Formats: sequence, C-alpha cells, structure tokens
Amino acid sequence: MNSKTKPLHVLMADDDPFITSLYRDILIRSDVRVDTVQNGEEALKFLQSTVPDLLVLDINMPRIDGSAVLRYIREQSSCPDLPVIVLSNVCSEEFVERINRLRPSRFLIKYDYPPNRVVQTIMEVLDTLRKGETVPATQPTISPAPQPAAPGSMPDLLQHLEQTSSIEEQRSILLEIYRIIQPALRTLGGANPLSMAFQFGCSAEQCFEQWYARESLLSPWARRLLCTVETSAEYWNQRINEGAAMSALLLISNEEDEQRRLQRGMLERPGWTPLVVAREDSALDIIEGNSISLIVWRAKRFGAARKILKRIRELERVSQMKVLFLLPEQDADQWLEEIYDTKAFALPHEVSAPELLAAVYGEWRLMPTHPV
Amino acid sequence: MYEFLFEAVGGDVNAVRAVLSTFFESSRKQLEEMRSALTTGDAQRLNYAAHQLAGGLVTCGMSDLSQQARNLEQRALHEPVADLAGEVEHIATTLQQAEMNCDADLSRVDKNRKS
Repeated sequence: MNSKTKPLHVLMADDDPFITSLYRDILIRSDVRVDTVQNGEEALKFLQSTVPDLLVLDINMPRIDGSAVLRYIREQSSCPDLPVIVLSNVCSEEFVERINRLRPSRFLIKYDYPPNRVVQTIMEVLDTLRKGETVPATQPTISPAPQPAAPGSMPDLLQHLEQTSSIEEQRSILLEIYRIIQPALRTLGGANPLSMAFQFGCSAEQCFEQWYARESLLSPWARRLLCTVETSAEYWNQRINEGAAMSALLLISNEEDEQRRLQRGMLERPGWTPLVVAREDSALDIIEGNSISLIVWRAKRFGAARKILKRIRELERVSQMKVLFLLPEQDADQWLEEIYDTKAFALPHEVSAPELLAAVYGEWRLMPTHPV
Repeated sequence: MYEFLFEAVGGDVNAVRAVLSTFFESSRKQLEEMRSALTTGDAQRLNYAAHQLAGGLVTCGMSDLSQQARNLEQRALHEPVADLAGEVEHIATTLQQAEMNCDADLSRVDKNRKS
C-alpha cells in the first residue's frame, strides 16, 4: 500500500475474543486499522462516535445482537450505507432471510467459510472500497442443518439408520431426520402421527392408520421412516413381566369410562394396582407418596400441567417410572417440546380405552426413547 | 486440520501457533462456562457457550468437533441440561488431546506445505 494512503478502518464486532484477535492480527499485517468490540452495545456506542470503512459483524452476541446493530445502521444511523460483512455461525433459513432483509454487503457463514476465505472476502471488499466503489450486497450461502449423526441428505440418513444397530446412533439419526422434516410436519397441522411415532417410538403404523387416514400426505421416505421406527415389544413386555417393579399405575383422567375400564383391566392383571385421579393437581400428592411405575396421563391444557410435569421429569431421572401421554392435538406442539426426549411415550388423544389397555400391555409395541 | 489457518495467516507456523494458543485459552473458558451451566441447569447459557465454541472450532478447522458442539448447542434447548454432561466432557477431552498434539500437528502441516 502507498504509505501516503490512509489505512482503511475495520470494526470487528464479535463476542469471541479468539475470532476478533485472529482477524485483527491478520488485517493489521495488511496495513488495515482494526478496532474490536465484543457485543452489540459496544458496537453501537463505537458507531456513534466513529464510522469505520467496514464493519465485520457477528450476529449472536450478548446485550444487543448483531441483527439489531445492522438494523440500526440501515434504518437510524448516519451511515445507512456502511458496508457490513456478517460473519455468523447461525444458518437457519429463517435467520438468513431475516438478515438478508437488512442488506448486508456479504453474508459469511463460518461453517462454509474457513478463515482464509473470510480474510479473502474482507480483502476483496477493502479493495473495492480503496477503488472508491460501492460494495454490492450478495446472496448468502445457506449451510445445511446440523448433522449430529450422519451427514448427508435424507436418503443417506435413512440408509444410515437402517445400517446401524446402535440405539443411541439410531436415536441421533432420528432426531436429525425430525429436525429436517419438522417444518413439513407443522404444515400438516400440529402433532401428527409421524412426529408422534418418531419422537416416542410408539407403534408408528397403527398410530398413523388410526389417527390419520390421509396416507397420501406422506412421501415414500416418510412411510419408510414409519416402518423403521416400528420396534419390538420386547422392552415393554419385559418391564411388565418384572411384576413388582410395575406394581402401580396412576391414571390422570377425568373420563369416567376410561377410569372404569382401565381399573378393571389392570386389576385383571396380577401385580398391578391402579390409582386414578381426575385432576392433574391431585396427582402430585399421589406421585410423591407412592412408588408409581407407570403414569397414564390424558393431557388436557398445557399451561395447567407444567408443575406436575416438572416433578415427573425429576422423578423420571431417578426412578424407573414411565409416563404414557395421551396428547391433545390442541397445544400438542407445546407438549411435544416439553416432553421431547424424555422417557415418555405418547399416543394421540383419540385413543380409546381398550386401545389404551392394549398399549399398556404392550400390544401397541411401545418402546422408550432412551434405552434403560 | 490447520491448513486453512496457515493460509489465512500467510503460512507462518509461529503465527498459527499464537492463534491456536489464543483459541485453546478461549475454549477453556467456554468449557468452564458450559460446566457452570450444567451445574445450574441453565440451558440458555449452555446453548450460548456451545454456540461460541462451535464457531471457534470450525474457524480452526476442527470441523467434526465443531459439529458436536453445534449439536450440543441445539440439544441444550430441547433436552434436560444435566443429561448433556457427557457430551460436554467428551468435547473437553477431545480438545485437550488436540491441544496436546497441537505442536506435532502444526509441524506436520508445515512440513507438508513446504514439501
């Protein structure tokens, strides 16, 4: 660079001191003046007194995040056209769309841009600025969603799922598949058989056929997924056959017919003691005072159940207690989120009393989401 | 593993060593933050620390470990925090090994680049 030329000035806003020190050291060696800040609040304060030639901006930062900083720059600051390179490791489509509306000059996702390419991009932008030209905005690259178990497309994941015999790995792949298909599931309307079947490993085909008759809504791979999560009754039967360990069942339901039929059904089964409460808030005392092996919970409104749910989750971690939820379609998303990845099972609310008994006896082939 | 870092700093092995030293120091703090979040059951804090660590890891070229941190970042929001202690310790151990092997790895990459 010509020694008479004023060095270009870059502000780096990133809460990770490693990232700021890395790029600062590299840029300084290229005769670029660099200032660093560690959160959005500091960035805004800095910008109120000094306008750099370029801002390299992380998004997920404490206090004020990068998107708010970028919005402020574009909408309220004295430098609405300031070139901004967003450097982030958040890459959901929703996020990308949101940031895009704020017209970043470049959008670099750390998973796609190793440091040499980040440096190269910063240098390209600085070269453009040195020529006195404006920096046009470019479209971002969207990384795929996290791939915890088996990177690749849906067919790859399904293939991997079939090949692996590790329960933990299967669970991890299924989690990934669920994350990928979740948006589509939501468009089908809240909790649906596929998400139930996936999340809780309950008899997928039966759940699907009984609850949703609209098979055509599911693609071939989704059907295949349903078959894959179909698992043996071995675990559940084993638990039931342990007898003493499965001695008490608590039904939380205010449906009298269900109460009566379940009680009768369970009493026909030696070694079981059915307990019934109609209200969720009454259930807590019973749970605390008895060694409950299985709770069948006909869940109603989500809000009212949080307290008991919290306690159940605590007990679940230290005991062999299992919970079988009968979930309503209304509020189902909230329920699913709350009981996601617990040891719970779930069936749709519409399940009838005989079907419920069948489920408890293992004929519906329930299995836990966690191996015990 | 460190090829991109070498390229970013202009091929200077000492510069890469300095960068990695900063990174390992920074990552130790993030891991401490995660352990603290596990103790207090703070899912948001765990999510945030894992997010930070994932960004640093991928920048250093440790993509697989970054993926694990990214996975942990997501799981922190959906699973009981206490259940994730194993994952945190796994990442910590792997990072510790990477730090122990750092000099040897850097020498190897440097040698390959020069040859």
